[in-house]
Formats: sequence, structure tokens, C-alpha cells
Amino acid sequence: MKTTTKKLTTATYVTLMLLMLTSPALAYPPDPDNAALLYYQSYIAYEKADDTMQEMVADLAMGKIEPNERIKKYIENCRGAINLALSAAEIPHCNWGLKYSDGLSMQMAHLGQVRKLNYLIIAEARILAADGANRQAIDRHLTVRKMSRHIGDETIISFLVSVAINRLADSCIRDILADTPQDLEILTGLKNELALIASRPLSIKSALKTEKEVFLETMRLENLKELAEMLVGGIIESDDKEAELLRTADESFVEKNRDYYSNYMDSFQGILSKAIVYETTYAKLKALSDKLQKDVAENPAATLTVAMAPALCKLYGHEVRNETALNAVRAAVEVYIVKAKTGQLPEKLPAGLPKDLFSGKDFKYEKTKDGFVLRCRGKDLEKDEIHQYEFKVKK
Amino acid sequence: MRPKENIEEFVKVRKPHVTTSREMDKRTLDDSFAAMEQTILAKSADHKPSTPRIIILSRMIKLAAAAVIIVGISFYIAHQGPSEQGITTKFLEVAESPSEIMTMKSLTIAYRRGGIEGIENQCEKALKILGPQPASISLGDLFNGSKS
Repeated sequence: MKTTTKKLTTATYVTLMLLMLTSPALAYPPDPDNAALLYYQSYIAYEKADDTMQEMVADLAMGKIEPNERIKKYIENCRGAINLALSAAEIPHCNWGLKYSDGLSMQMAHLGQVRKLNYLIIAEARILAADGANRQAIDRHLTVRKMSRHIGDETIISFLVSVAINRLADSCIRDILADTPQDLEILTGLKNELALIASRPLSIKSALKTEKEVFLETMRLENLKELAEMLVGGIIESDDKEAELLRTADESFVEKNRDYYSNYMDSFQGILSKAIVYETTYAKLKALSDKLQKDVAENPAATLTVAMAPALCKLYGHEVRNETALNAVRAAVEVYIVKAKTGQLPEKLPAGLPKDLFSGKDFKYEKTKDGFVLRCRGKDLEKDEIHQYEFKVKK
Repeated sequence: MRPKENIEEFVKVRKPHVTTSREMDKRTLDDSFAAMEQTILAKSADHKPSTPRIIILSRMIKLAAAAVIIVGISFYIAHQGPSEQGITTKFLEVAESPSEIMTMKSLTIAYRRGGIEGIENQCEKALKILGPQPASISLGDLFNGSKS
């Protein structure tokens, strides 16, 4: 009995040791848990394209041209880069390692590369859709959405690049859905993924926080020369009154300007943090912006703010437009699901769908000859237009 | 029969054998050009406008030119549209130095001047200047390369 127990114990130890030694998890180091590391690898892994090819990829991504053999070959040559990006998009954490302490001189070269990578992936999505591989095409579109979240909203610039990429993704998914047979499984998967993406909306609030800190750090007497170089001829004209004030600035001028800028940005964030209804928020931001324009005529302390603060209403407009477009796609997917289940488009929009953020209400739904339209009920006050999103249905 | 028809008849029926030379060709061509110039000058003199006509034409030309310029400028202004920040409508060059082309400063200026499209243009420009973007190379190419 004692011998049997000893043999069993030995066998267990040997088995455990063998398992440990042969486990693949211990055979090589783990994959990165920071998506940015994979994106950076991806940037050096795609084929260098000439101007014509770059234009063709961009045109295909924007739906201006149909796929052709040359683009397909180029995309295939970029397979390594695309695969790295696909893996990166699935990693929740993304830290680009930006050197914020460099202030306005901080390098953001990754944005140009990530934008190019998005064009490649959207172009591939369109190729896949044209070849009837709709599920993979939708997956590529989702990758781009996830990448735009990774680009993030830590700075106003990265927020704006994310918005631009989402615009591309919006038009792509509308075209893919128009050509996709109503497959319940694909549509339900898309619905769930979009809900996850929407749970972390792009917001200018965090971007403003970083922007404020970086600009306040730059707004010092010792940096004034650099600041003047950036502003005069760049943002304000050399013969403007503000340019003259910058040339003759002293410590007191800078301090007062810092205070004004800080208060202005705090007011901006204050309005946004209480934002409920678009129209009211827009009116408050407009009033704040108008007050600044009025102040600068008689208060030199507003000089740097008028030159450096972002256009409030425009930024807020980008945020609302971006999220409303995503909501329109999410609502449309629900309509496609009804069509997949019943074979018919619904007579009215199902209840509880993502809303038009310009009005805070459901989209206005209208059936058309080719599909349906989702129309906002509130006006985009910055653009002075009511947005509408057209969706086609495959017959 | 008229002289023209005589000549036609002569060419058709008699089929003349004319021996040409370089001097003959030159003389014929010179005579033809001289006759052509005379005809053009005579026609120009016939159509020369009178002084009042010249004045009217000149005024009309000036008015038409002014109209074209005004329409051109209006069209240009109408199609410029407001910039993202409303400060300037010009798409000026932002930063030419490769070390600065994608800094927060350059991108901020690009946005103030041209909105999101301004940033996109700056990114495009940066891609042409900044690297690295190697041409694709397979493992096979790498190994073959290392053998040689």
C-alpha cells in the first residue's frame, strides 16, 4: 500500500513537471498588453506605396472607386502590418507613450501613421465586401472603430483624428450593410460590438484637461518668444493688436493672461460637465465664446486666450456629430435585425434605440424605395443643418 | 470656256509632263505666299472698324473684363467658406521642418487654419517626409539575401 502511494506521488510530480516544461505559456514571453506597441510595429511593416497607390487606397476607402487587382496586391503586401493592427485593436489598454513634458513640442507622429493604417483596413473591408466576405468586412470596420478609441481623446488633436477616422468608418459600414444579406447572427454580433464601443464615447472633456495643462505650462514669460513665433503669422496676423501686445509682454501680462485662460477653460469644462440638452449647451458655449471676443477688445488679459483657446462650439459640434452618427448606425442595425427576423422593414422605429443627440429624441424613421432613412429631429446649430443617414437594404 | 475650266481640261486630257526643279518650286511657293499676303491685307482693310466703333468695342471689352474679374473673385470667396476657427481661410504651410511637422504645436496650427482637414493634410504631408516605411520583404527574400 505504502509502495503504491509512493509510486502515485512520484507519477504526479513527474506529470506536473512535464506539464510545466512543455506549457507553451512558458515557452516564450507573453504578447504585449499595450496595443500601442503592436501599432508601432505595424507602422514599420507595411509596404512603401507611391503617391498613385496611396491615392487609390484612399479613394477605395472612401468608396470613390471599386477594388482593382493592383490595390488588392498592395493590400496583400501589407498583410503583416494589417494583422498586427487587428491584434492591437483587440487589446483593451493603449498607451502611446507620448512625452507630455515636451509641451507644445510633443511629437504626435503616430497619428499620421495610424490614419494611414485605418485607410488600409477600410480599403480591405471594401475589398472583402465586394468579394462577398461580409462578416470579415464588418470585422474590419469594427477594428477601425476600436482603433479610433485607441487613438483616444487625451488631446484635442487626437480627438479630432479619431473623429475623422470614424467618419470614414461610418460611410464604410453603411455601404457594407447595403450589400449584406440580412444574417441575424452577423447583425447581432455587430450590434453587441457597437454597444461596447459606444459605452466609451469620445469626449472633448478629457482632451480639454490636457490642452489646458499643456498651454498653461507654455504660457510663461520664458516661453513667450516661442509662443509669439507660433501665434504671430500662424494664428494671429503680424499687424494685429494682439501681436503687438505679445511683443511688449511682461511678467504681469503673462500672469493675467494665464488666469484668464485658466478661468475660461474651466468655464468651458463646467458647461460640458453639466451638458444635458444640445441646444442649451451650444447656447452657453456660444455666449462664452462671444464674451471672449468682446473682452479681447478692451482687456489685454484675454489676448492669449483668444489666440490659444479652441473654438468651443466647433469642438462640441464634432463630439455630438460623431456620437450621433454612431447612434444612427446602431439604430439602423436594429432595423436590419427586424428585417432579418420578419423579412420586412418595420413600419416604425423599435422603441429604446440609441438617440439623435441633437434633439435627445429618437431618430425620425422613414422607409424609402431602397431602404430607409434616419433623420435627426434637432438641428446641428454649428452647421445649420439637420443631418440624415441613408441606409439601403439588399433585395 | 473660262480660263479655270481650260486649265482643268488641260490637266485632265493632255496630262502635261512638267519637269520640276528646286528653283521652280521655290518660285511657285514665293508667288503663292505673296498672293496670299496681298489678299489678307486687302480683306483687313475692308473690315477695318471706324473710330467710334473702336471706342465702343474698347468700352465693351473693358466692361466684359471687369465683369469676368468680379465674377471670378465672387466665385472664389463664395467657395472658400469659413475656416474652422474663423481666424483665417488660408491653407498656408504650417511646418516644413521634419522635426516639427507632427508636433502638437504644428498640428494645433493646422487645425486652427483648416479644421479637421487641416490636420489630415498635415498627416499626409508628414507621411511623405517621415519614415520608416520599408518596402515589403518576405522571409524568403531575407534568407536569399543573406546567402548572397
